Amino acid sequence: MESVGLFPVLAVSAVLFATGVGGVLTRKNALIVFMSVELMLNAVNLSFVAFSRHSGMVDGQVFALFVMAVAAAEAAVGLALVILLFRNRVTVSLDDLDLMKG
Amino acid sequence: MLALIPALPLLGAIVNALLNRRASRVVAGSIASAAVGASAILSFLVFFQVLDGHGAPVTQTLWTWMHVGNLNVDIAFMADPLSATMMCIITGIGFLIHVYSVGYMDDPEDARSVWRFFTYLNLFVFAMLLLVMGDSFPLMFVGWEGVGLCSYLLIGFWFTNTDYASAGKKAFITNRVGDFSFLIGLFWLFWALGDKATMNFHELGEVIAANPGIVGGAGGLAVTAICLLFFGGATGKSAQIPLFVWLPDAMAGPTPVSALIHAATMVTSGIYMICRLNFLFVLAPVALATIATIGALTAFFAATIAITQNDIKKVLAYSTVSQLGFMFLGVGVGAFTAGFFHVMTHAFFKALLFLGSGSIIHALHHEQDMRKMGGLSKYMKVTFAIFVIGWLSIIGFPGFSGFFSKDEILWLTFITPVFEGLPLGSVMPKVLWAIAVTTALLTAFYMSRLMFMTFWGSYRGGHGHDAHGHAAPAHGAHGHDDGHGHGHDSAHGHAPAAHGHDAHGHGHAPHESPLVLVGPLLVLAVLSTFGGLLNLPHWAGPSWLHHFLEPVFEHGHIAFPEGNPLEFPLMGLTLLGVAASVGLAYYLYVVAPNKPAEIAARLRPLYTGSLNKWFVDEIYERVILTPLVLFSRGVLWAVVDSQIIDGAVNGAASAATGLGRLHGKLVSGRVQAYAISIAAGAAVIVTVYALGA
Repeated sequence: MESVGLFPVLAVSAVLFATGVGGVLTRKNALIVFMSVELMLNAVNLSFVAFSRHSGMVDGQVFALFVMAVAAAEAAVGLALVILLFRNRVTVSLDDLDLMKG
Repeated sequence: MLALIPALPLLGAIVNALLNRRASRVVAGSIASAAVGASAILSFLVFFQVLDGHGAPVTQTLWTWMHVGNLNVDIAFMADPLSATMMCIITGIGFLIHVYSVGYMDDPEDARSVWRFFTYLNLFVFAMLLLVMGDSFPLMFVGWEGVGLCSYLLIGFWFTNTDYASAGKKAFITNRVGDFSFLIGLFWLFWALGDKATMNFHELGEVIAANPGIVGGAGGLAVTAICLLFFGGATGKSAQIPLFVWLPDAMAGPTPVSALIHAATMVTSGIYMICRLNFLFVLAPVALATIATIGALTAFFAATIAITQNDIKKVLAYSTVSQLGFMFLGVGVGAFTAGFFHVMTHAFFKALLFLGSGSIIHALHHEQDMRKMGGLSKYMKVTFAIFVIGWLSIIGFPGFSGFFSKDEILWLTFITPVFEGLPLGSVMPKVLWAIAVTTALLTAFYMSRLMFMTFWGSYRGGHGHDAHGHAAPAHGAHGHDDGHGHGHDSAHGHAPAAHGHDAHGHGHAPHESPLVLVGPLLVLAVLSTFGGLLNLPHWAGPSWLHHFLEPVFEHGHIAFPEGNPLEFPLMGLTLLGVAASVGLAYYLYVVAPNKPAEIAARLRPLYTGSLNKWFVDEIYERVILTPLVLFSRGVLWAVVDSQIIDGAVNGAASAATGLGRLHGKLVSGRVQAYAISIAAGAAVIVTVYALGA
């Protein structure tokens, strides 16, 4: 099977990452921001795997596995936080959450 | 063994300080006296060791104090002939005065604080020994400051009296002015030495004698300035013009303190320092001329004040200033041995006079005004006899110690060769000699005045209790003195006890002091009488002290011309003048006691000036103190402190507050705002890398 080459994969990864960043910066719903973060993580995973394949070293793939494991744990903690947040404040809008204002 | 000599008084001070109020007068006094006594014995042993070694110094190094670059300063002690002699004077006279103090400090009001007195006194002896035994400048300076501190503490011993407390402060601050000059001199010397850096006196002597060019050569600017700065330090410690003003006020301290610190030892440390640095001073004839002139002027000036003072201790204080002037005149004309010899004899007879006056003051219950004394020879026979010896010594009666030392200074001043080549160098010795002789006559006059006012005539104290005119209590008191059963332990009660059989006594009639006071006086009387034998003039016998000290002045030797035919005529002239002064005093204060008031009335401006110490304190207050206070208040306080220093501190605080407030605006609490910053930052970094690559 013919390889697609490094560049197209990295381009997809960059688009994914930028989409994630856009979501994190602009969406008001904590849950969606959270999903956008996952998108960014997976964009990184994609480039890890691409580089690994390109360089012929397995390190990148190992890293991708680690990122997935950590992202899973992070998802568990993050979702728990969002649920607690909703129970206490009856909202998940980030605009309403500025208790740490200086 | 050498280190034990200062260590013992320090130990005594520590023990007394720890015992604190638990130590009674006798306990604290015994501990203190024992410590100084033991160190006196050791000092004499060391002295004989130095004597056996023909002046070879005995040294002991304890540890390295500081080691910086090529400078090495040790905690090390040295006993050469000069310091060994000083050690014997300090610990010997110190011991006598400690014993005396046990009897003197018996006022019940002091019972709770007397431990402090003995602690300070021991601490003083420790510091003074450091000063003379230290083999390097830094160690000497520790002692130099230490004695100043102890002097301050002891002058203000009765600090509840505000005047006494401020007398202490005056002494301390005046001394600090001198110390400042001393330190500048020291730094300058250190700077001039460059890579030959050493602070050890012996090495300094070798280095400078081998290479005078290092300090600018003989008569050079550097060495002259350094010597003058050192002398500035000496004017503070040894009460010379312009810094003499503290010493008369220092009489606020207890009389034993006046005797030990402000007559016999501490105030002579300036002379000791100059003798120690003789190798430096001989290179600076201008500095020597200044020292001799200041010394002569101080001697004269203080004597003119002493002739009108009525407080017995004030007379002795100004006499001390005057005698110190003689010593400086001696070292200033290059006669280091003669100056130092006068330090020694003066220590004997002035300690004697002060302790004698203490005996009178003690007997008269803290009366110091001579106008309320008189006729005391009838009541206090031993004190009188002792005072006569002190008097004969200080006026230079032939055969007594003061005669030999003062006469030597006078003569060597007259023939000194050190001013040759200076402008007015040929007349200067004669002028200085004339001033010194005049001072000697004034000395004879005011000391005779003191004697006649105190011991001759009839007793003028007694506060209207005229009935005490019957001599019975007085004789009773004296008879009691011979048997002397009660000693000093009965504290204050002894005054009534002495005249227990006489209801009129009530302590108003003077009485002889107990043995613990008189004993030390007897020893000092012997020393004052025979102390002159230590350094007989060349025509009378061996100049033992001169030979003993020769190794010290190895690099500072000055050859005085010999065989001048004028020596005896001038001496005779001085003696005649002294005799005339004594006669005049006898006429004015015994034969015609109304005359002095008449003369005072006729010479009112002079009399008022002398009585008020020529208004030096007032002038200092107007010229230095008031402007200084105004400057401090108007500029240093109002501008520098309030505006600049407070402004800097408050400014720093408000700057921090402002920055914090500004920063607070960035912290919106909204997590997406932070995320934008992070993203923007990351974008910048990536862009920079991308463009850079």
